[in-house]
Amino acid sequence: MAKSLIVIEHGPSGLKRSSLHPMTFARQVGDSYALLLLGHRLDALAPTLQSYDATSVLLADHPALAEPLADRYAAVIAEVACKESAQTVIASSSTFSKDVLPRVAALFEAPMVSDVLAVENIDGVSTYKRATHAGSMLANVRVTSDRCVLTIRPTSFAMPAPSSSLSPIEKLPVDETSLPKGMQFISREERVSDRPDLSDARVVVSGGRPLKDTETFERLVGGLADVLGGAVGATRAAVDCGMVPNDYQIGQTGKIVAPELYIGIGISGAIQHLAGIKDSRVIVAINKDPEAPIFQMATYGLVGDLHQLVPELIEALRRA
Amino acid sequence: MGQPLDVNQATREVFGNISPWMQVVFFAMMALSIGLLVRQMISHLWRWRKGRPGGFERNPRVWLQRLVIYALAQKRVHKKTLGALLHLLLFSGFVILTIGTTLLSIAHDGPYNFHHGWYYLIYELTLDIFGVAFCAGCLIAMYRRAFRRPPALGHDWRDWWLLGILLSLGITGFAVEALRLHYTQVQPWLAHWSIVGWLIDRSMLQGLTIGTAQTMHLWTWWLHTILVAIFFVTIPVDRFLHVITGPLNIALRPERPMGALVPLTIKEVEETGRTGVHDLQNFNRQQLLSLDACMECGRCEDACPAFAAGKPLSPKRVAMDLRDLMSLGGGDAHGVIPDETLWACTMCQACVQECPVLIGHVDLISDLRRDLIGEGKLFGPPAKILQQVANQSNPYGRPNNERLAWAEGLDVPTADSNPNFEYLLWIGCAASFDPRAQKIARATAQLLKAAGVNFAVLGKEETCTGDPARRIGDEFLFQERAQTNVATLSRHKVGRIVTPCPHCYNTLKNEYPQFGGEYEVEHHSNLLAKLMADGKLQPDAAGEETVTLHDPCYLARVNGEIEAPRAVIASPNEHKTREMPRCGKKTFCCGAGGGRMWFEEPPTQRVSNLRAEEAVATGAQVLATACPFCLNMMSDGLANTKGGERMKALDISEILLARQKRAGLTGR
Repeated sequence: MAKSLIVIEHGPSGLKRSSLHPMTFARQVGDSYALLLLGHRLDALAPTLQSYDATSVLLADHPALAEPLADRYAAVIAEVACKESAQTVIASSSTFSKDVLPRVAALFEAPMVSDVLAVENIDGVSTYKRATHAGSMLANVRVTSDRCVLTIRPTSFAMPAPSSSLSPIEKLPVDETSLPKGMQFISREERVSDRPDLSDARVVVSGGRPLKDTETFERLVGGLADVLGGAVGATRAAVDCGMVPNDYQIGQTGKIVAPELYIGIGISGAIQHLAGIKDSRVIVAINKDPEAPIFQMATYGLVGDLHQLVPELIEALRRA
Repeated sequence: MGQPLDVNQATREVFGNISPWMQVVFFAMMALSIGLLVRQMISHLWRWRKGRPGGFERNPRVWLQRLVIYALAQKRVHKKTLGALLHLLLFSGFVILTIGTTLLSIAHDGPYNFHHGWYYLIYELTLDIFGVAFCAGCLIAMYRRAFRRPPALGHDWRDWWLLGILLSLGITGFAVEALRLHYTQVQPWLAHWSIVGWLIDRSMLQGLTIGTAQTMHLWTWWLHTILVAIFFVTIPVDRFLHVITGPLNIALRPERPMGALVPLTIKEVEETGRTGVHDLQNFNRQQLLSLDACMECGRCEDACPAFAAGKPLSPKRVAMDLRDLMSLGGGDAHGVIPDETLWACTMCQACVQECPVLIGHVDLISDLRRDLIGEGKLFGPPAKILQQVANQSNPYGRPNNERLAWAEGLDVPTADSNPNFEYLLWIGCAASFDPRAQKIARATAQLLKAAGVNFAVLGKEETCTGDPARRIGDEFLFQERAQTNVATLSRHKVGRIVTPCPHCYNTLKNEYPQFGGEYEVEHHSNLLAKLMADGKLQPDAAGEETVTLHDPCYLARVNGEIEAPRAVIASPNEHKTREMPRCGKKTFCCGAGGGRMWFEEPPTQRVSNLRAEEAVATGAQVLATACPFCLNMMSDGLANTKGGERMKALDISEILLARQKRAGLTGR
């Protein structure tokens, strides 16, 4: 049985749940897997990872690793992968893994396949499916080497189920002098939010200019997102008038989302916004103008005043 | 005095006060001065020759026609502005004085001296009048530079030098005349014809002895001629260069529809190893000449929507920066023109339309963009658009077989179901896939049906014309699209095309002939206006809202279609239509052209907001457009503009359909 090393991501608010999804991938291909957590003062985070059937939970805990500097992290990950005789290094697709894993692939002397959507066993060989050309085509990729570095789309692999058995925790020695020092940590800017990340949320609630101000936006769009456990997005117009921060923007010049449920509140449906939501499974639109273009794309449309409808909807969902 | 009044004797001395050796010095000085001017012009010629060979218009009839229209009649200069007035004065003064001086030297040095009699009298009067015009032009120009200081004009010490030397030439010229009249004791009836000199003599020189006047005449004459000599030598280093290079560029710029970019051939790419222009020398020779034709008047900058919106582009700066690079011997053009400047252009052609010496700013920018694309320097949404045009055959990235989604429930004939169609209705990607713009396709199809037009659509066989790819700079992606579409259109034996998209219209009409696709192409405004004129559509416009029309650049400016969209929305009640200050060919871009539709734009730099403000200021209730991209941008602009919520943006076809429905939408 082949062995994988799964790199777990964490931040100021704790473990990133989406970074656990590679375990589902590893289980699917039948690999055993060790989990690797890098950082400083990891003791509080490690126990959660013990209950996922990993062969071990490896901690690279050192002040020099307090911040995710790609050159140091990559060096440690590659070294651990060799030591553990892992064949595959896996992480979830994220800015973190985009930054770190290509370096790992180079150090580990392995090919890399990014953003894997699915894996199939064809003629006894693992074949990875990944989207190309902005998602319009699927490529089947086979790796000829026995080693490989992968990132997987967390939305394509479910959250792994926990088990009752406990994996052992192992602290790894870190030699600070051997770490590369080409990068320097300057500062961290992060919006602290309890809501899921827009790009891989299952539910996205998004609002437009008619919400008027930050307070109303948060109460209606944020409120509905919270009862559904969804992420919050916005149109360019809402971002432009300062109602919400820039990273809320969905569309051609913002984020592209493809949730299972997208709810657009007070959004007329300019093509620039629709370009960012067209792959959503179910689109719900709430708008007072029955002629609004978004209704042509929506699975369900609700014509009416959002200031009246949305609070009622939130209330009904709360009671349900 | 005391001589008989004989008109035939009327003439004057030439070189009368100048001794033979002084005349030799004078001719030597002028020869040296003109020689230096020629030498400098030859060095300019060598700069232009560093460019790729060719690019020049070869038809002498076109040269002549253009020289008459743009150089002599100065069509592009005339405007109701102070700048235009002073240019007219300077231009006419300079031309007449130059012709006069040339005639004088022909008369004096030629075999037959005709410089006497009535000819002489009219000659003197004419030159005096235009001399005044010339000096007045200089003074107005100085006033304008000193007090008005239009920012687009640019200000440099050399401009004061030039105006100073021109005015000095005029003043010393008149002084020489006055002193000559004084010391030669010309009879009043004769002197009256040299009216300015005579007035100066009468008012300022009375009491001067003949001897003193003669000495002063000599010195003033020398001052005047030395200034002329200096003036010639300095022409190539100041704005006056345009007097030579302007007409050259006006004559030699290749004749081509405004909306057609130049195709690139694989052969050229193989020869140069490049797509587009990287080093200045990759421009063709006519383009390099055009850089020297710029006199920095700033009309292009005043017309530029990107500049107005605060984007980092001024067409004038592009031409000047490239020219400065050329004067340094050439080199990497991207070193002087930042990428953001090139991407900021909406290719609305307002600068090209304004330029009095016919510089092709958009061609310069397009060539530089092609190089950026070749070097892989385009990122983000517009780069994705190119991928989607390549892969899905439309910039929206939708499956191309959903192209008829707009037609649901309308029973629209396709080229397969109705192979004997008269008109091919080319929908365009925007009206096919953008849910808002789909209503344009629906309205147009419904109107054509109501009017009984025999038409068909291509459905999923239609693909992007390649317009966005070509404007962004991906020339070969455009050519691939063009070849595919030309093949499809040939297969269906298409002769006439009507389309609601001005960009498709322009590309089909002006650019597909480059690939063997020759069709009779109409914009939907044109066909709808004809159907109304023929009585096949009889809309009921009673009680209609007030409308103002936003002319799409690629319809009005680039293809000259101004009347048709106005005819479509015309109301029996004239008070119902209002014009924006910038309309017709002088329209102001919505901001979507040149691929800008797909670029990220900070809210402070949106062209659409400026245009929406202008539209709202008319007080009209409806903003009519005739382009799906304009419609998108203007809807957005109105949403961002104070008072914009009281105005709605509609395509002309939607307005007409609503009126037609009121009259009863039945096929005739």
